[in-house]
Amino acid sequence: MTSAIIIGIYLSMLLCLGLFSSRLFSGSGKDFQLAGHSIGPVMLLMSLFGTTMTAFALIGSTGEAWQNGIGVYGKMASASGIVHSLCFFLVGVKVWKLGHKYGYTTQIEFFRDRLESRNIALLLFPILVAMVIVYILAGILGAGTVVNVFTTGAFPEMFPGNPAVPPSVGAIPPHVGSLIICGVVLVYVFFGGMRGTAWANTFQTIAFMVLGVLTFFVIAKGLGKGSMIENMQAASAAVKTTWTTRTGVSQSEFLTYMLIPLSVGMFPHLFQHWLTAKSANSFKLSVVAHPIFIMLVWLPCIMLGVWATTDIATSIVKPLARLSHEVAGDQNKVLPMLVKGLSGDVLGGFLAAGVLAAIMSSLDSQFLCVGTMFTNDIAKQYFTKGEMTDRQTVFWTRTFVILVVAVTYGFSLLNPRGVFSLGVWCFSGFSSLFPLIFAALYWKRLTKTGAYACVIAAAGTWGWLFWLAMNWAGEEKGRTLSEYLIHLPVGGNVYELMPVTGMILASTIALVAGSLVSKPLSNATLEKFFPAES
Amino acid sequence: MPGNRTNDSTKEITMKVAVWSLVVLLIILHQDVWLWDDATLVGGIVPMGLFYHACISLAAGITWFLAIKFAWPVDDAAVATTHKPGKGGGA
Repeated sequence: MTSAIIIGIYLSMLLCLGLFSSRLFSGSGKDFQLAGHSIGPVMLLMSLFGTTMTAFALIGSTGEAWQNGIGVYGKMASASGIVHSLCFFLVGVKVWKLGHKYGYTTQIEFFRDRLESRNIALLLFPILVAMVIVYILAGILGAGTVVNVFTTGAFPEMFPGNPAVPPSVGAIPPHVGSLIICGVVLVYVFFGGMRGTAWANTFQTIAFMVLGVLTFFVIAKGLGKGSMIENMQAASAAVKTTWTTRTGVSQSEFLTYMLIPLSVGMFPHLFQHWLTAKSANSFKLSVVAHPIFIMLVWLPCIMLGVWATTDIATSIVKPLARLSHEVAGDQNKVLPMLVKGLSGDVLGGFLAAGVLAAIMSSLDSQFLCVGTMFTNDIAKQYFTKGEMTDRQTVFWTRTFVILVVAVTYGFSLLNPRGVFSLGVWCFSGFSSLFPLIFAALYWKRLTKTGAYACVIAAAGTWGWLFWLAMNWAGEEKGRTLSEYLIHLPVGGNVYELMPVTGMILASTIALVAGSLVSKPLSNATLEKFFPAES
Repeated sequence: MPGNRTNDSTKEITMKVAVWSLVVLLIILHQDVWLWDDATLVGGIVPMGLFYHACISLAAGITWFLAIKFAWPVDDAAVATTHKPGKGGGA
């Protein structure tokens, strides 16, 4: 019950923060969607970091380390430290410059101008929204699991549960937990807009980083009767080498995994966050601190994941022993079980709040982003002839945010596969569109035809590979969608490649070929986006 | 002074090349095939492969610090606004 009360207090604080930030709201559409371009370096760092760290970073990384070992750090964390900052540097700063100059709020507004194509929205919008919704789903499912595990035993009469499935007894069911979290995020996004989102992200990023580090030390202390260092050494010594090396990962898979963080360059919600910056210099802190912040969050999670595989951990946290590496979704329960099992109720509640903070700091940006895209790219363009008053802009954005939350929550009730699997495929989809944003910023010869070909090739290869992965996961019992690889035979060897490799290759070839066979864009457009002085 | 300007420009280009070379080096070092099967525990706690990649994260922070110092792409003062406030962007 204590954990449930602390989670309740934390959520109430967030609601207050959202409502308070709404008092600074000027009433303009730009203020609601971009916080009036007022975000400085620290809040930008916290917003960008909080937005990119999700259920995927905390629950997914711990679970993946428990499932496959330390390789996940190199595949996702250190690679992201290099590639995310590269994207902020090469894409984010330039997008901010153009957005600031020409008044863009969404990616599609930028592409519409850059490609001289009013209807690019009709192709790009459904794809971007579908992928963001998959991303949101991962967050909603993760939030439901966390609330479920941390409220175990709190409400025995209201939620009797099934005694054969221990976390369910007296716990808020996952679908109710997801609903509560969606409701809280919805309220502060609805009232606070981008400013409320940025404030909440800053607050929540601090919360999950501090509480995350605290979690690590509390769990390390709880792993035995010796000092914390002795416990950590004993737990590490007990981990089998399969988990402390990368013997289960091929080098070609590891290499091609580095393409996945390119997704950051095409996340529509990050695009919107970039445009909130007060100045280009505001990006500098994010570029430098992002890799170090990633390390601070991921390193403890990976250690916890590999320690959870040992007899030491399973003898202390009994429910861990019931988890199976063969059951899809079990890996998502590792971190909540460790936290619940090795910390007191009070600290457990705070730590649960930290995990929820990480999840919510992504959900808010995604909700607001999809609402903004519906308003600016569809409603404004196709229903109000390009004109909208500030009042209408805010009204439509809020309405679409509510719809997106409702629809996504509905999808979550269908209980799709594990958070990590969804995340990897979602990120791969965004990465496959990276050539488009990169070419739009740096290649004058990009044309409308090339862009359309790129998007169609990316969507086509994603769909085809996902279908193959679904069939494969159906045949290979206990394997998840994220484990599906392309097998490329070359000179007698077979190389394992992440599916994203095929997607990026196809979209890049289509972009270049489509552009070269079509007529270049007008000089006016090229001068607008590539002025002589730059 | 034209001479000074040429020297500054050469220095700037050299620093940019150095920074981008570091980024490429970081990407190559990330693919650490030499530690693939190494099960050594650093300090008896952190597996070698994980420790190495934590160092890569720190090295990335340092590299990006050099990048913002010597290869920053935008001059804030040179960015002008051409859109009408409150009108939104796009075509």
